[in-house]
Amino acid sequence: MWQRMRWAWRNLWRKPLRSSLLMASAAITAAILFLSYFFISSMDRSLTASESRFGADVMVVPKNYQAVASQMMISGEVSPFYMPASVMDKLKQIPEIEAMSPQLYLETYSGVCCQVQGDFPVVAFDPETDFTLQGFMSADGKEMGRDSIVLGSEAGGKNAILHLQYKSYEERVDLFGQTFEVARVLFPTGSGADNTIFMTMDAARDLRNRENNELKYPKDSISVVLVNTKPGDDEFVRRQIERLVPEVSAVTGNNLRETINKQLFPMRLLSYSMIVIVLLMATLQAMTLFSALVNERMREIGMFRALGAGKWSVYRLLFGEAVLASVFGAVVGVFVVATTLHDNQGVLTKAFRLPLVFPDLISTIGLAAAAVLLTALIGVLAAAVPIAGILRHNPYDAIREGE
Amino acid sequence: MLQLTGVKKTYKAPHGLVRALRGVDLTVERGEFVAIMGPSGSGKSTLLSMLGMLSAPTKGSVMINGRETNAMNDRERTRLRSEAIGFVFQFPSLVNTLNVRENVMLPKMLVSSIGAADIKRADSLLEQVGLQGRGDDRSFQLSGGEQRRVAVARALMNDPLLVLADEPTGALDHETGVSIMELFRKINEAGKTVVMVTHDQELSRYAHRMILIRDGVITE
Repeated sequence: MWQRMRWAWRNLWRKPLRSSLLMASAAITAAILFLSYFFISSMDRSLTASESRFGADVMVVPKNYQAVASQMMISGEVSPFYMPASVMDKLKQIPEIEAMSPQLYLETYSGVCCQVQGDFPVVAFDPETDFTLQGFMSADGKEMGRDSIVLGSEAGGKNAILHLQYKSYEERVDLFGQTFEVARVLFPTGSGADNTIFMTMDAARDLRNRENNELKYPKDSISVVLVNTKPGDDEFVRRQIERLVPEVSAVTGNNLRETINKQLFPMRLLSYSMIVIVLLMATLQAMTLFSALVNERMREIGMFRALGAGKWSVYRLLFGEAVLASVFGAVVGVFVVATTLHDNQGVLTKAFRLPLVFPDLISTIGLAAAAVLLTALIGVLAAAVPIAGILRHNPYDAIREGE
Repeated sequence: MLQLTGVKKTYKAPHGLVRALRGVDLTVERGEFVAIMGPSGSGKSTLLSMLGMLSAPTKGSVMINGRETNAMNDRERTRLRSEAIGFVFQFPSLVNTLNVRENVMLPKMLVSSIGAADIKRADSLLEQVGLQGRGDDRSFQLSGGEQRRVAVARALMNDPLLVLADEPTGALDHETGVSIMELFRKINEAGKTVVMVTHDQELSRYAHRMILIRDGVITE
C-alpha cells in the first residue's frame, strides 16, 4: 500500500509543472467549496440563533415595517422606527397573549466600550417584562437600574464577563451625555444582539426628557413589542392584533423566517450556483490535465497490462495519483482559507453586514474534510474518463499508439 | 504449449485495411526456443502479440496450454498472462520512478503487495542476470545492456512457462546483444519456452527453430 502510494507520488513529479497545476486547481476548488459552504452554514447558524433570540411567537412593529424588522434580524443593524407606547394597552385586551415586552431602538453609539472600539446600536428594553434577553444574560453582575446597561458579547461583553464576578468591578460608559455602569453582559447569541448595548426603558425616557437631549425619538414611543402566546395561538394572535390595532403589523416567527429566507434566497442561489459551476469547471480542468498526463503514458499502461496488470490495477495506480494530487492541493487550499477566515472574522462580518455565526472547530473540521473529499472525488472522476479511454485499447495497440 | 490455427489479423489504418497476418498456423512445444524472423512490417510483432494475448485475432484460434484464448474474458486473459507469460519489450521499458529491484518486482507490484519473499526473488533474479548489488540503483543509472538485463529479470519474476521477447537486442551493440542472447539460452535451458522476434540472423542461431514470416504468412 505505502509502496504503491510512494510510487504514485513519484509518478506525479515526473511532470512537475502539470502536477503543480493539478494541485493548484484542486486547491482552488476545495477552497471555493469550503468558503461557500462555510458562509451558507454561518448564515444558517446565525438565523437559527436570531430566531432563538427573537424568542417570541409574534413581533409587533409599526404598520408596514415587517420588511425592516426582518432586515434588522439579518443585518443586526438598528433601524429607527416607532409607534405609540399606548399600543401595549390595546394588546392587553387579547386574552391569548401570555407575555409581552417592548423594545425601543435608539441610536448607534460610536466609541469605545470595555476596550472595544466600534459602532454599537443602543436599544432600550424593559427588564420587568423581558423574556428574550434574560436567557442569554450573565449570572454575575448587578441589578439593573436607571443608570445600568447590558453589553452584547461583541460590544465589550467578552472583556467584561471575567470581571463581573468581582463586586469591586466597575466599568462605565458615557452614552448620549450620561454615564452608565455595566451591570451584566450577554453570552454570544449569534445575532445582532451581540453587537448591541441595552439600557432600560426608564433610562431611555430619562435621556429623552433631559434638556439638550441627544436622542430624537418621539416621546412615549416604542419600536417593537415582543409577544408570547399560548401554544399554537401565534397565527390567531397575529390576526387579532392586526384587527384590533390597525396602526401596527404583526409577524410570527414563521413569517419572519419565510421573509428572511426570501431575502437571503439570491445569496443562497449565488452560493449554490458558484458551487455547481466550480465543480463543473474543476472536473473539466482536471479531466484535461489528466488526459494529457495519461495519454503520455499510453505505452507504459499498455506495458503494465502486458506484464499482467488487470484493468482495475491500472485504475488503482492512476487513481492513487489523482487522489494524492487532489488531496494534497485541497488540504493546502482549505487550510489557507480556513486560517484566513479565522483571523478575519470581525472584518468579514462587518464587510458582509451579516451577523455570521462561524461554525465551531469540530464543524469546521467536518466542512474541511467534506471539501477535501469532494475534491478528491472530482479528481478520481476526472481521471476515470481518460483512463477508461486508454483501457478500451488492447495492450498491444496501447503500446504501439504510445510509441 | 502454443498452437495458432488460421490466425488472421486485420487493422484499420488511415490508408485503408492492413492485413498484418493472413492465416498463420504455428505450434510451439514446451521447452522450445523459437526465433521469429522477417523483414520490417512482415507481421512478426503482431504474431508475438497474438501469442501473448496482447491483441485478439480477427479470425482463427490461439491456444495456450490447451486453452482457447478467444473464449476467455479480459480477466481470465490477464490472469493467464500474469501467471504464464513473461515479456521483454523492444523499447526501453523500465519505469524511471522505480529503482532496479522495484522494476524487477513490477509484475507483482501491479497486482498485489510486495513481501520479503518477492524482494528475495528479485535480488536472486538480478544475480542471475549479472546485476547483483544493483537493486537500489535508479533504472536511468544503468547502461542500455544492463537495462535490458533488468527487463529479462522482470520477465522471470512470476516464474512463467513462456517468455516472449520482441527484438530484445535491438539498439544494443553486438557484444551486449550476444550476452543478452546467452541469458535467453540459460533461461531456455532452465525449462522456459522462449519465443523471440529478431531480424538479426546471427543471433537467431541461439534458437532451436527459426520461423520466417513475410507479408503476414509463415514461409518456412
